[in-house]
Parts: sequence; C-alpha cells; structure tokens
Amino acid sequence: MFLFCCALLGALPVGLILLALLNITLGQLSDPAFLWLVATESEVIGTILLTFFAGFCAVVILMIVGTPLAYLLARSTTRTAKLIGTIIDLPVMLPHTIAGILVYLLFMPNGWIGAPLSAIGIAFQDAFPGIVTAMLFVATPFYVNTVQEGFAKVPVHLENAARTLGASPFTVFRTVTLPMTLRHISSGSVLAWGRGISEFSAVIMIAYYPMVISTLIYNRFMTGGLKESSAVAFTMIVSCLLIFGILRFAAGRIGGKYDRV
Amino acid sequence: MIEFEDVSLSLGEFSLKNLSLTIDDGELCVIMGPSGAGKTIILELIAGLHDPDTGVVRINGVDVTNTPPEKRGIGIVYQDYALFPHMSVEENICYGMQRKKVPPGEQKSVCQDLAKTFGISHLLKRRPLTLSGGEAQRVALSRALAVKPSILLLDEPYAALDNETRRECVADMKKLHSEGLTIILVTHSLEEAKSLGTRITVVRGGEVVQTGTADEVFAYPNDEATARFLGFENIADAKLFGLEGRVCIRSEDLILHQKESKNSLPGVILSTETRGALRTCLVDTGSVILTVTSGKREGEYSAGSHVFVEIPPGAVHQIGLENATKNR
Repeated sequence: MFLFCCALLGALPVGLILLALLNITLGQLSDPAFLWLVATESEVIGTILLTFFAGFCAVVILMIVGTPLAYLLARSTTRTAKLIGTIIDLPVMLPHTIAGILVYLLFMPNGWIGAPLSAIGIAFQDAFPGIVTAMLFVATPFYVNTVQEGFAKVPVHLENAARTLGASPFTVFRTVTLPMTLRHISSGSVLAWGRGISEFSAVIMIAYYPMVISTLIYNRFMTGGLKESSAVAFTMIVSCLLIFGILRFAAGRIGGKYDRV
Repeated sequence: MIEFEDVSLSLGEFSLKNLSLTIDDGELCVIMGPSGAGKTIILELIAGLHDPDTGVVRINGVDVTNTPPEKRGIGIVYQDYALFPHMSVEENICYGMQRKKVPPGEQKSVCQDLAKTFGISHLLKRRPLTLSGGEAQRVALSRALAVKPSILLLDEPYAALDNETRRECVADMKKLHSEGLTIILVTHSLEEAKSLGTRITVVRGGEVVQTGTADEVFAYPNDEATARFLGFENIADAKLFGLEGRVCIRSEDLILHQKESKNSLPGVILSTETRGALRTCLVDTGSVILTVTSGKREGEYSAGSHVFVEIPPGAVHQIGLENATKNR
C-alpha cells in the first residue's frame, strides 16, 4: 500500500514532464517541413554548438579548479570549510538574475576583474568568455557538491595505507582517491554541464550576444512567436536527449570500470 | 627501537598527553585500551600519519618527528584492511614496490613469493571486494610486507575474523615476529594480548597507564580501571596471603565448593548466568559480593544455594604493587 502511494505521488512529476514532452513533440511533428527548416538553420545549429561548447569549457575549468576544492571540503571538518561549503551553495539559492548581476558587476569592462583583463584584450561583455563565466558561476555547486560527496566516501585509511607504502600525497590522490571518485566526477560533470547549458538569466546579463540557445529561443519567441521558438526548443530538446544519453552511458562505463563497488 | 618522548597531540576532542614510550627492536608490543583511548593514534604517530603538537618521535635513534610516512619504512594493516578496491590483489601487493621503483620483474617475483607464503596465489587476479575477511587480511599483510618494512603496525587486524581464521592469522604473525620483525599490535582481546605480547602497553584517555611484560601487567595492574579492563571482576580492600590494600581476583580463578575447603569463604549464591560453556555466579559472602566463573559441569548451583568460595593464593593480585615496588 505504501509503495503504491509512493508510485501514485511519484507519477505526478514524471507525468508532467512526459506530458509536456508529448505535447511539444506532437505539435512539432504535425508540421515536419517547418521543423526541418528551423532545425537546419545555420543560426540554430551554430547556437546549439556554441552553447554546448561554452558548457564544455565551463566544465573543464570546474574539473581543474573544482576537484581540488571538493577534496579539501571533503577532508576538512573546520568551520572555515563549512563556511566555504555554504558560499559554494549560494548560486543555487540565489535567483539567477542576481547571479547574472553579480557576474556582470565583477566582469564588466570597468569591473574588478573585467577591467584588468579587458586591458590585455580579454572581454567578457557580449563575448564568449562572459557566457562561460556565467555558466561556471551557476554550475559550480552542482559539480563541487557531487564530487565532494565522492571524495568523502573514500576512507582516509586507504590514503594512509598508500602513504606508508611510499606514495606522496599527490600520488595517493592520483592513484587511489581520484580513480575511486571517477563516478562522482563524471556525474558531477554531466550535472554541471546540463546546468550550464540551460542557463538564461545569468548569461543574458553579461552576454546577450553571441546568443546561447536559451537566448535564441527567447529572441525567437519575442520576434517570431511561439511556433518558431517551439521549433528551436524542440531541436534543442532532441539534441540534449542525444547528448545526455551518450554522456550518461559514458559516465556509467567510467564509473563501472573504476568505482570502488 | 621506537621512542616517544613527551609526545602530545590534540585532534578535536581527543588529546594524547605527554606520551613517553620505548619499544625495542624485535619486540611484539601489544597496545591495549578501551575504545577511544588513543591506540590507533599511537600507531599513526609511529607511521607519521599525524604530526605531534609537541615532543619527539625517534626510530632507531633518528628523529623522525617531521619525516613523512612514505619515508619511514613502516607497514600498517588496518582493521578494515584498507585494500584498494579498484585494483586487483596483485596490483595491491605491488603498489608499494611500484612507488619505490622496484623493477617489474622483481615486483612480480616478490608478489608471487608473498602470495605463496600466505596461501593467496589463487587470488592474485581477484578484486578485494570479492575476498573473505581472512583472505583480505593476508593480502593486506602481503602488501605491507612487500616493501620490506622495519616495523609492522597492526590495528586490530583480527577483530572481524572467525576463530579458526584468527588462529591461522595469529600464527602468520608469530612467524613474522620470530623472523625478527618488530610488530606493534593494537587489540581488544585479552587472550591475544596474553599469548602474543612480549610487552603490553595499556592506554586510557590518551595516556599510557601501564607498560610491562605480559606477566607483569596481568599480575600487577596499576590501578582499578586497568584491573577491570584486564578482566579482574573482583576488586576489594582486603588483607590476604600477606597482601594488604586494594586487591583484585579474576572470576575464573575462584572455585566454588559445596563443602568448606582450605582458604574458602562461606556465601550464598545471589544469581547465576550461563555464557556458553561457562557459568557465572554472584556470591554474597557477607563482607563482599564475589563473581565466580566456572565450567557448567563443576556442580549444579542455583540462586539461594549455600556455597564456599575457595580463593587460591596465586589468584590474588594487589593493585598498584608494581608501582609501590618501584617507588621503594
């Protein structure tokens, strides 16, 4: 009875997602010629590729800087670590327009970071680095929290044993801790990438152009109406499903090969 | 030789206070103490996994206080064995040799020799999570020995093993000790400590409360808490067989009789409790309540029975006698 109630309640969110997908799919398939026309537009394809690539760049940066941070947070029990953990979570709690304003204020041409970097030719306003930065800002908690959970599951005893066997702290991290956390790193990356490419508010604050897919859908909605924006949205949904399917499969393979269980 | 000189360490709420301890080469030192006493921390201090706040740690006369664990040449086997689950048994055993850049051919032969010694040759391609407790224990031991450590630290390695496997693993350890390896073993088991340790160190609340040979420690516990920890269930003030003051007697050293015998006290059984093949009786002698453990076959006694409790002269130990002797 309890399981039945769980299934009944759980059916609501799943049903809502499926219904929305079914709705847009049937609507788009009723006019395949128009859908094909929009989906093969160079602007649509270019924007989807740019969005995916910007998300990829944000994830690569996160892997480089977020992995050591996640390790420190997993191994430290100090108040400072707890405070840093709370700061990391801020982008999840803030409305994304606020995240956009925070990023813009820092990276605008006369911002604290934007000013010195624009002096050496790196622009963020209405530029690709701005998109990556906004995506990075909102995706950080998803990556760091997931990877931190993975590191916390690696027993310290294992690292200690490796140290006594002659491994330096970095070698222990490389040969013991990291391989045992690959499943979390891969799923954290997929989550962060997904969060990054879906961002709209934070991105348009700093870079309306070049347009990411969310901006393009909004733009088409305002200029071409619902039909055009729905066709772009449907193209993005299909692309995302394909990419996420491949990534989930790859993440599962990596995790299955190296994970501790 | 391992020397701790006034070593102190604070880790959260736990603190180790002014620890001074010497363990000689070739010794099999057993560290005992209740949970949270600091036994594992002592092992990890020897291994270099913690830096002491104050004090000096020396190994063979060399100050290693600030030497990292990878440069100390000390092997450690944890209670959960700490095998690397993403590596095969063979990769686990070769891990330390790879770090020390031992040629691959030599790694393979050392690994095979150890696997043969510990009877795990058929497990080399397996993953640690598929091993039984005894097998994992032997793999962990092989991995620690592969890098030829000068000291082997064992943190309750037999706690999760069944009796038969435990006996086999203890035999492995005795063999290693007989070959001259210095071994420091943390255990909760009194039997293990009594039968193995050439030296026993009792730790409580981050302090060494007693250290000595197995005979000394088990015959002359330093204080009441140590006596209780070492399995003395009967503790009282008495004047017996030339000993006077606080004395302790193990419940299994007392003998129940239906008739009066030499060195016996009359009493009434208050309650009985059966633990496996043994029966424990609480006997009220009027002046003190004694706990007596005997075999179930040694007569049938029930609550209310009038009995005589024989106290053999050798069963009475005076608490703190060793200290008193030393002080004199």
